Amino acid sequence: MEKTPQGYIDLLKPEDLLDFFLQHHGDVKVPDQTYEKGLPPQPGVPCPKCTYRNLGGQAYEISETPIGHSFIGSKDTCDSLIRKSGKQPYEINPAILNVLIHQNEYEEEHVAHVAAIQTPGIIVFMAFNTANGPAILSYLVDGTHRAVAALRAGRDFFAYVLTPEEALQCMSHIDGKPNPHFIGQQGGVLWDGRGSFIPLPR
Amino acid sequence: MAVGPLSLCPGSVLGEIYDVSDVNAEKKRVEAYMLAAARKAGVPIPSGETLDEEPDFRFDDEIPALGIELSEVLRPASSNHGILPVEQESFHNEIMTKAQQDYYDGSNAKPVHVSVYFTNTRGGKRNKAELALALTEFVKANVDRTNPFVSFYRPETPDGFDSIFIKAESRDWWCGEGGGYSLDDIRPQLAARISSKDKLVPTYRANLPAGARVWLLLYTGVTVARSMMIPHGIEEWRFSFRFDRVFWFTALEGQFAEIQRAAAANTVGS
Repeated sequence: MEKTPQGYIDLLKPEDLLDFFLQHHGDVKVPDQTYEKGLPPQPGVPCPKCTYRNLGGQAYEISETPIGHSFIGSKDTCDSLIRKSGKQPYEINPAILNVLIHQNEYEEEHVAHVAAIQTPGIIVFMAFNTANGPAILSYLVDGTHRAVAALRAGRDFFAYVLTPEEALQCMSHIDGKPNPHFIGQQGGVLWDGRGSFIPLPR
Repeated sequence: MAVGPLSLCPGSVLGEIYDVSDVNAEKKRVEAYMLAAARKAGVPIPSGETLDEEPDFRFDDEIPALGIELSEVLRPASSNHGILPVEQESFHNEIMTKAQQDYYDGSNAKPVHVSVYFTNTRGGKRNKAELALALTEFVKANVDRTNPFVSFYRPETPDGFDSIFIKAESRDWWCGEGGGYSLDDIRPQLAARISSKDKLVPTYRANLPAGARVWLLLYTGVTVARSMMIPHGIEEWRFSFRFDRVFWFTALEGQFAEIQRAAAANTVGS
């Protein structure tokens, strides 16, 4: 696959995107993430992920890309799209998983809490135009703790894969602005993952 | 489950190396992973192992030959009022499975996801069918309150449940495990695992070439019910064993310790 706009546009199927990622993951040098530690526990504070799980509500994943763009993805909208489309999960190559985990923050104490859960994660592929031409990025927006646990337990990890077109529909905000292509319900605030809420632009 | 073109997973240690199609496939898969992970973490395990029984792996190319037996160190029953945490986890999972099944067996059941934390019974026995029924009925009674979710905590929850979270989405029901352990729980558990395997050292030696070394690799898994950390000061602990070397690898932290041998006159776990 050449790095041409047409080349990227041709990557319309999850398996093509994963295959492309597998071919190019070596472009980014990432240390083995199996025993890289996540965020340490906060003394006197219960696991924030478990606490948030019991509070319910929409979960968002915020990502700053290395090419200067940012997006906020709604996990609930991803879930909804996956259910409606009848998508099936893919077994994710450990080399790809290593890169995806490296991009994310996670709570070290929460890894054991979800280690027994084998619900597939969600990987989104995003496409952006940059000064150097189109770029394609991939993020694990759901399942980071389960993925780390799977790596440490020597289990395979499965994830649903959203193409750039599908992912665009699940992003509530792009570059700090509401995304007109978002098909979910706009939330008013974003939880920072550790106890604070950040107002979202309307 | 659909598997794309990446299903061969060239990075995966297992499945390619060993033919794991027998009934012990999962146990052997885990053991093979733990052996490889312990080696990666720094345990001086050579490469070139052959899958075997009694001991679990043999290294015939080593001089002298080497055999390694594996054994899982679990969070013990002593840490959970006499109930083995993995058994409690299994008990809880069976309740969740039955409650979910019974809920959807009812007519016009709305799709919901339910997350539960059970009350710690502190060693008391509970009836599985009664708990499953209580959960099913509670969810049925409250499903219309989801907007899109609703949470209940004691004393709103049925007896046996600390919290019940119901969300209007189609996903398998789930329960979390809790609990901890103390330093006093670790040493007897290590002693028990070493002792149970130590009895078989003569068998391991008989199954290996003359003069072969025999090691024991203890390992600990990654879930709440299974994981334990290597305690500070373990290098001062002494255990009696006939293995040539004994190691303990914890998969959640990726750490290991070599277990020290007690003087011959001491008893196991002294």
